Amino acid sequence: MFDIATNILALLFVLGVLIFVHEFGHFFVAKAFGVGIEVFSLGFGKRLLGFRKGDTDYRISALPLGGYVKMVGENPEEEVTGADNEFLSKPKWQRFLVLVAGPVMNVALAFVFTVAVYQLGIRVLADADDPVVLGLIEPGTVAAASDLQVGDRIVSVDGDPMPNWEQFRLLILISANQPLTLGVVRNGYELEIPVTPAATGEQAVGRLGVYSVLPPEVGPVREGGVAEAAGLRRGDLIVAVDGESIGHYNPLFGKLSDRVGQGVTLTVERGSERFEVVLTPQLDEQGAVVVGFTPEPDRILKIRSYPLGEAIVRAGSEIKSQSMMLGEILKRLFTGRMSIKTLSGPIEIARFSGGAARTGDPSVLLQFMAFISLQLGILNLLPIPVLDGGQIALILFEGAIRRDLSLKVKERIMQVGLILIVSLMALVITLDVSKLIPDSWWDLLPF
Amino acid sequence: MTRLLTAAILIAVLVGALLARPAVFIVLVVLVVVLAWHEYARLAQAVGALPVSAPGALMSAAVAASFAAPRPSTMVAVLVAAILASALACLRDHYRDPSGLVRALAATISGMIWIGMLLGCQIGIRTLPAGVAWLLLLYGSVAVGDSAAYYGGTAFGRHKLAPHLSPNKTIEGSAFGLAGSALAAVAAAYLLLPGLMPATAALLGVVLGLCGQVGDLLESALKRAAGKKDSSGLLPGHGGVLDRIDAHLLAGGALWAILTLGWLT
Repeated sequence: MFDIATNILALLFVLGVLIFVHEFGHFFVAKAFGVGIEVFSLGFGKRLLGFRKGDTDYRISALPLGGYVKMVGENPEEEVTGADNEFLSKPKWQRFLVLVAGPVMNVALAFVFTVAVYQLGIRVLADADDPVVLGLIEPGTVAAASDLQVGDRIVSVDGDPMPNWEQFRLLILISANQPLTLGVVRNGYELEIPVTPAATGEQAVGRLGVYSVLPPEVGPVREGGVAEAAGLRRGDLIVAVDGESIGHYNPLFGKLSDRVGQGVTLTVERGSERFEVVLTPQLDEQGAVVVGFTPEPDRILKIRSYPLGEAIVRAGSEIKSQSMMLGEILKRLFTGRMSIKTLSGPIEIARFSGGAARTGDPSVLLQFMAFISLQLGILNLLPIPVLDGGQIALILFEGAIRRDLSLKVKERIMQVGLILIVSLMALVITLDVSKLIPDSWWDLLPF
Repeated sequence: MTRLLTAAILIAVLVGALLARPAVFIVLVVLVVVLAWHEYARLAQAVGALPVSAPGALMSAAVAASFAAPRPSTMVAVLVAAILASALACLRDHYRDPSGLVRALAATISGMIWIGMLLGCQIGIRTLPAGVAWLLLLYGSVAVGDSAAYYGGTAFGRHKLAPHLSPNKTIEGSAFGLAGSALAAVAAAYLLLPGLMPATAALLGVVLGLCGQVGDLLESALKRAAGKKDSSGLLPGHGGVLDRIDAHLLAGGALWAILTLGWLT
């Protein structure tokens, strides 16, 4: 229950800030051009609270999935008198700037937050900047069935260079069921290996089953734990489990989990010494396997922080690459190469927001808000009626044909857009809710 | 516009529930059963039959959900238990004054079967191989048949079909509806069920369309008897849940029976 409450609060906060910034963009530019503002609202629907200042009613409304700025003379069906403070009395370029200001503010916010995040330092996987050298191929996965081998270095995918694990993972994630050609360097020879990442999990994301190099090295050892009792020390390298040699950290934990309560013989290298210890994995109160040690934390995650100058440059390229990735995702969604199930709606966003807020780390929340803000900005620019982009497209189109479309046509276009957006919202929210429904409910029933 | 928006949301929710795991569709159907049951109970009350409301909804939901059970005997057991529970609930309500008992019991059990069991058939279809494709064929042929009947009837309707039950329906409209259902079934088979011959699909479409029209008439008759135009105002522009699913009740039941009996394989 606590999680649900923080999820909702976090969602309200995250969306509140992003929507405020968006609407403020419209508001500010409209004011600057002398357009009268009737309402500035966070949220849709029924007015909950607010105040009046000048001609404008500033309010918070009931449905927190958006917001709006109601300008004087914006709606052609309503009384458009031709007065100077009406939106439709303004020249096209001014209307264009008013419309584009909202999305631009969201992109700008994403940029500012990303700069801040880079300055605060971001936690990334330790191998994010490392070349894609395979340290482990998980049995039973796509990678295991392919010609890939441990030690291979993946240098390109479909001909595009692949400099590091971070980019490689992202690409695999969005390439479920897509045949890819990996450019691989093995012993100085270049090979081409075809793979098709499998679709896994609720979100049908791509998975290959490869991991970077992570030696089976003992990190912090818990005081009084089973590893200490066995005589393990931080920095020990475990080279074999029950005589079976092991080259990666991941299978180590798996092998130990299978042997709860039994003695497992570990072959350990410490400096130039080599000896054997016997470790007995146990279960804790929650039923989780305890082995008394963890991997070295800085081999899992690392913090990247940058001075302002470099933070700006990095944030710029991050925003650019995220935008391109969003474009790529849209392309794949429209061409059916990516399932609509990968989309997240407000409920998922609430869960992620809550999760980000509960970490207590401001940079995690900032990073998440920047991500959502950028999406909000870019998606609002799509030429779909009712979105800012749809109105911008209409203005550009009217400019191109040098006359205005009839009100009836515009109204029809708006209706089509509204139906499109509402259907998409309903679909995404349904899929969100469906992720909350556990399969296990069913097992509780007596038949 | 309201009507279109509501339809868009309903279709999107349905598509979402069909895309997700079977459990999600089951939850959706159970929810619809509960809503439809309450509308049915109100209509039945208006004609003087008093079904036990809350237990009836619960029993109907259980009967619907039992279609997800792996063994057929479970379904029968749940149905028997539901009938027993309904009988007990009716007895409790009427043991001082038994005059309305038979009507209450009849209304409860027939509602349970009409809504719980017939909608449950769609859960049954969902759990079959290619269940989603069969459901899309069902929804397609009923929906297209419905529209074809409306437009065909408006344009060419001369002879009343059932003036005492639903005065606006015509024989011509009904014929257009059946043709539409057949065409939709053929299209669905072509797109989604490659193993189904076009002629078989057309015949199936006619059967489903016919069931849809009968189901539609049945609900119209119930509403007419109750003196109501819509079963509720829950779905803006569409009336109630029962209005939306009336045609799918019998048709879904028919399709489940046909598939379970193995007539198409």
